[in-house]
Amino acid sequence: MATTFNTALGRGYSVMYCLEVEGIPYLFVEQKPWRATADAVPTIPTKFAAATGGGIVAGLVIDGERIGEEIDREKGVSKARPLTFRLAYTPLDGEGVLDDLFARPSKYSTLNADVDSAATSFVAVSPGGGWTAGGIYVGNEYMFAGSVSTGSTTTFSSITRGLWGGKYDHKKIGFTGSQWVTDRPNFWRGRMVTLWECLVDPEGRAVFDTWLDGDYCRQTFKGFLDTTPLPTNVGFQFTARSITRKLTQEMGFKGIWKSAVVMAPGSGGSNAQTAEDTSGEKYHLLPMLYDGGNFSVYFDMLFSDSDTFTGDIQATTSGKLYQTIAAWSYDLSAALTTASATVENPKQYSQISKAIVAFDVADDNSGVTIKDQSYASTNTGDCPYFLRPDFDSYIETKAGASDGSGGYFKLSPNWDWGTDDVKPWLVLHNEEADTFQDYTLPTAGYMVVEDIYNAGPVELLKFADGVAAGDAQLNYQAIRVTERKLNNTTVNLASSLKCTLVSGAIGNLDYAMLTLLESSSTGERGDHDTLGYGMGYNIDDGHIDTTAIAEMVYSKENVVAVDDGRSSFVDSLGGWIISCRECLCSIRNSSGVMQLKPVKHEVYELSTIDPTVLTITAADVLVDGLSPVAVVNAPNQIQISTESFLGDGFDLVVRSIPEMIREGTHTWELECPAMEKHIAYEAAKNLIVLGAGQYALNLTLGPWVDIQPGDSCLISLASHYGMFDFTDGTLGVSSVAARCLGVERDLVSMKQECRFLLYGHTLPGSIYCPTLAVTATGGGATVEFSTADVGWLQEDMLVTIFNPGRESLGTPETAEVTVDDINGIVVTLSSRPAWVAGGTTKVTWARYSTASAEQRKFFFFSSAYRWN
Amino acid sequence: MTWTQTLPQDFEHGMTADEHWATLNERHAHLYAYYQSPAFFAMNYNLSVADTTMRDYAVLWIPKNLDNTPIKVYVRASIDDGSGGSAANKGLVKLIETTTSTGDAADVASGTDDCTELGDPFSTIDLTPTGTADGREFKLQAKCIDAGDVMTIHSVFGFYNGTGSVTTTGLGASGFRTTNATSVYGAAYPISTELVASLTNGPRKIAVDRPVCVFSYFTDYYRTARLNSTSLTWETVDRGFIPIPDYAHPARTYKVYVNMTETGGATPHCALMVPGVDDDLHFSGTGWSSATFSTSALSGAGATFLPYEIKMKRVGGTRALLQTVQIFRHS
Repeated sequence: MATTFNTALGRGYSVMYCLEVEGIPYLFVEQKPWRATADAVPTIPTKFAAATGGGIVAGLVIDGERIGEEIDREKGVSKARPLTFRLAYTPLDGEGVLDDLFARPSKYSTLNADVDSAATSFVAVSPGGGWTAGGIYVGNEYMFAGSVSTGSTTTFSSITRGLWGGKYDHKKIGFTGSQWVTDRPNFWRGRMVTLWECLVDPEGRAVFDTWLDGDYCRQTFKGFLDTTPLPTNVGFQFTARSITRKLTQEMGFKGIWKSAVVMAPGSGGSNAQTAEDTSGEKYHLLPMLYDGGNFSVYFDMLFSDSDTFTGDIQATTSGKLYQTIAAWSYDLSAALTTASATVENPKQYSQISKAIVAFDVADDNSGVTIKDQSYASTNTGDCPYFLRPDFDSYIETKAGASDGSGGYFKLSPNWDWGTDDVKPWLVLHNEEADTFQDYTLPTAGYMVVEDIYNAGPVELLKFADGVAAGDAQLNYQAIRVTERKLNNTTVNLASSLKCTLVSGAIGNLDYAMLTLLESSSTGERGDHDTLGYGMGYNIDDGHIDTTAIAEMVYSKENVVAVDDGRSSFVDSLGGWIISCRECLCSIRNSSGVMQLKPVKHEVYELSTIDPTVLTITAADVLVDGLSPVAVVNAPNQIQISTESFLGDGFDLVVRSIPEMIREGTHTWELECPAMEKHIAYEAAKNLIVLGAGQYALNLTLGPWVDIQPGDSCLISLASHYGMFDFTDGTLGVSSVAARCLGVERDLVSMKQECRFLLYGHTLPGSIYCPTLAVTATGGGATVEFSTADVGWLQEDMLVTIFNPGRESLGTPETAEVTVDDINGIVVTLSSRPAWVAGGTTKVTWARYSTASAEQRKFFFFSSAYRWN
Repeated sequence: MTWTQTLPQDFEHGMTADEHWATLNERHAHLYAYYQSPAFFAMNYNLSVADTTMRDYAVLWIPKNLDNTPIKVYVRASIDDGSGGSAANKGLVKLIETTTSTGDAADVASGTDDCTELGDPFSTIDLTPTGTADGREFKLQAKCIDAGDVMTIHSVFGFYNGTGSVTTTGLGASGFRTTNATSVYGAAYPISTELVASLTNGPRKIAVDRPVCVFSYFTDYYRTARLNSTSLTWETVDRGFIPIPDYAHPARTYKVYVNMTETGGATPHCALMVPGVDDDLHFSGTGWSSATFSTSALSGAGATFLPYEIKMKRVGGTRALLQTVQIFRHS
C-alpha cells in the first residue's frame, strides 16, 4: 500500500501550497520544485493550458497563517478562520503577469444586454475599443472569445465560457464590474479560492507528477475572497472566508411590490378592437391556464336583443381571438399551436348564453390566456348581431357573410380564482425597497401575496420568468406564477395585491438545503439550481456532499424555510441541521476535495473495531499540546420554534426538569420552520440525552494525524487526568470516546490544535451492531467481503453469520463462528455453514454473552431499560 | 394487535426497550401477513353473459406482486333463467393469468371458481400466482352453464390478499424479510443495522409489492368497449375523479396502465388529463401501455380527489377502443 499523505508528513515530508482563484487563469504556487522522480518540474494541469490564456506562476506566500474549522452545535453551520495569503510582486513581475492581473483594464466595454450563462456570443459597446480574440473577464467569469468583430459595437463570438470557474448570468446594469467586459480582472471580491497542499519530500522535491493531481495533492481550504487586493510590502494581500461562512450572508431581496396597472398597446386581431381605440386596456394580471391538463372556461356571449346564434365558434389560430400584448406572455394563437380549443356546448345560443370553450394545455410552455374584451368569430350558422365593447358601451356588429362567418362576439372568460390551476402573469411595481438592489425583482423565487382591500389569509406562491414589462422607467416587472397555494390558502389575484418577497426554499429538507446552496439563476450549478438571481449561494454541487445531505435523519421532512426579505441559510435551516444532530462543515473527502458536508456533533460509545474511528495516542500529541479539560454547555431545555414568516407553526419547549432543578436552566433555541411536533420532540429529547455530562479537551496534534471536524475518535492518554472512566469510576482508562469538534491548523508548522467533545458522565448510549455483507465464498471455509466491510473484522473475533429472514426455519440459518484469518478481503472462518452464499449472507456481532468487550460497546445493555 | 406505523424515531437512542423491540418485530410480521390492497374494481358493472362457452370479459393488469401474494376476487352476480326466474349455480366466473409482460405464458392460475349461489351476496375466486413476473395480465372469463340463461355481473372487486402468515423463506423477491424469530430479537442477540433497516423499510417493500389501485375502469372485452372513439381528432370520452387521499403530503408517483384495442386497423390513442400534472399521459397503440405521473408535495394540498378527463381518437381504421385503465400508487 502506498504511503499515505499523512504518514509521509510524519516521516518528515512537507507540503507546498498552491492556489486557484475562480476566473483567474493562473495557478499560483509557492515555488516550482523539481520532481523527486525526474529531472523535471511537475506538469501543468490541462485546465491551465496556455491555449486559452492559462499558466502556472510562482509568487504565492503562505506565511504563518492558520486555517480552522469548528463545529457550531447551536447554529448548524461551522465556524471557520479566514485565510490570508499574499501574491508577491517580484515573482509575478518576473512571470510577466503582475500588470496582467492588477493593472487597470486597458480595454473595457459594457454589455448592451444581459448575457445568460449559455450564450456563446454577445455584443458590447466599446468605449475602450481595440478588442482582439482572446481571454476576457466579465464579472467572476473568465471567457475565451474565439473571434471578435468591432465597429460601433463589439461582438464577441465563439466564446468558451466558465474557464477556471463557473458560468454566470451577467447583467447589463451594475455598479462596479459585472456589466464590464475587460481584458484584466476588474474586481476580486467574491471569487472562489481553493488552497491545495501538495506533498514534497524532505529536500523539497515534488512527490507528485502533475499539479493538483493524484494522491499527493489535496485541497485544504475552500472559500471566497473577502477583500480586494491590498498592496503590502511583499505583494498583494488577500483574505478569504471559508465556504461555510458564506452561508451566514443574507440572501434574497427585501422588497414589497404591488400590482401595477399598465396600458395595453393597440389592437390585436382584425376587427377585434378598432384602430382608434388607442387607450388600450388597463390591467395588472394576465390570467393563464397552465401546467398542462384540460380546462374549460366559460365565456359570456353578448348578442343584440332577441338575436340568437346557432353554429360553431371558431377558436383556432385563425380565429379573431385577441392577441396578447407583450412578448413576455403567451398568446392564445401561439398556445393553440400546441393546445387545442373546442366548444363543448354547440347549440343555439341566446342572448344570455355562455359558450364553454375547452383548452387542452400540453405542457408548461404552452399556457393559454384569453385577455378580457377578446373576441371570437363564428363561421357557420345564423347571422346575429353581436355586441362588441367600445370604450364604455357596446357596438352592434353585423357579420359580413350571410352564413355567419366573420361574426364576432365578446369573450369574457370567467376565471376561477379558487383553483390553483389558473396561474397568471402578474405585473407589479415596486412599493418599498431597502437598497438599490431590492428594486430588482428576481427572475424566480417565492412571494407572499395579500389582498390589500380584503384582509384575510395570505398566499405563498412561487414564480419564474421574471422580466421587465410595461414602462421601464416605472420599473414594472412581470412574473409568471408557477405554483400557488403553497401554504394551503389562496388569494384572489385579480384584486389589488401587496406582494412581499421572501427568501428561502420550500420542500424536503435536503431539497431546501441544496436549492439554497446551489441556486445562481443559471441552472449551471446542479439539479437544484432553480432560484433566481440573488436568491441562493451559487455553490456548484461539486463542492457539496449531496449524498451525505440526502442521508440526514430528517432529510425527507417538509420544510417551509422562508423569511420576510433577506435571510441567511443559517437562520433558515441551521436549526433543522442541529436537530439532525449534525453540523454543516467544509470537509475533505476521500478524493481530496473539500466539500460542504453535514457531520455528527454528538458523541457516544465508540469502539476500536470501527474502522472509521481514529485512535489518538500520546505519540500523536505534541509536547506542548496538552491542556486541561473544559466544561461543555449541554442543554437541559430546548426551545424549538416551528413558525415561519407565514405565521403558522408553534413553539415547543422540551425540558429535562430534574436536570434543570439541579443545574439551573441551560437553554438552546432552535428555529425549525414547519417541523412537525413529534419530530421536534424527538430531536430535542435526543439532543438533551446525548449532551448530558459531556466535557471538552484541547490537544495539539502532529501533522501526521489525518483528522477533521466530525471525526469519531478514541483518545488514549492514560496519564491524562481527563481520561476518567465513567463506566466504573476509574482513572487512567486506555481510551475515551470523543468527537472532534474543531481543527485549527498552522499552515507552516502543520501543527493542529484540535478540540474534542468527550463521552462523559452520561447514561450509556450505544450504537447498532454493524452488518457486513458476504460478497462471495471461496475455497474451504473462506468468505469474501468488500474492502470497507472487511475493515470491521479482526482475527479471533466471534461473529454471527446469518441469512436474513431464514433464522426461524426448522434448521435456522444462523450460527456463531470465529474469524480465524484475514487476508485482504478474504476471511477464513472457523467453519462455514453450507447455507452461506455470496450476495445473501450477512455477518454481525456475536451475542452479548459471548461478545468481546469491544463488541459489547455496540450493544444496548440494560435489562430494565434497553436491549438484553 | 393494532398496527401502527414504524417511524425513524422508533429507533432513536433510549427508545429501544425489550418490550418495545418485540412489538416492532411483531408489528412487522403482522403487516406482511395481513396487508391487503385493492388491485382492480368495478361497481355497477352490469355485464351480461349469455354465452355457454368461456369468453374473456375483462383484461386486467396486476403490477409487481413479486412475492406472489394471492389475489382474491369478489364477484356479485345474478342469473336469469330466461323466464324471469333465477338459476342458481348456473354460471361460471374465472380469473386466469395470461401472457405476462415478459411473454411468460406458463404462469397459469391455479384457482378456479364458480358462480354462484344466489343466496350468497358474493362469490369469490382465489388465485395463487406463481412465477416471478414483475407485472402480469389477467383475464376475467365467464359463461353460463345452460343455454338461454343470462348472467349479470354486478360488481367485481379484486385485491392482494395477505396469507395471514409471514414468509420464513428468507429475503423475498420484494425485498421483505421477516424479523420475527427469537434468534433475531431474543435477549442478548445483537441489534444490527441490517435488522433496523429491515424493520424500517419492510412496510415500504410490502406497499411497493402490493400497490394500491386508486382508479379502475374495465369494460366488456367481448363487445364494443364503453369508452371508444371514431373521431380522428381528440374527443372527450369520460370525466370523473380519482380519489387520492394523501395527495397533499408526501409527494406520490402513480402509474397508469392502459389497454386499448381497435377495429378496422386503427391506431388507437388516448390521453389522461389531470390538472396540475405535467407528465405525458398520452398512450397509443393496441395492448398495454403505461406511464407514471407525480403529485407534488405541496401543490393542491388538502385535495382528496383529482379530477380527470379521458380523451380518445383514432389514426386510420374505424374505431379506437379503451378496454382498461388502472392507476396504482407507484412509489
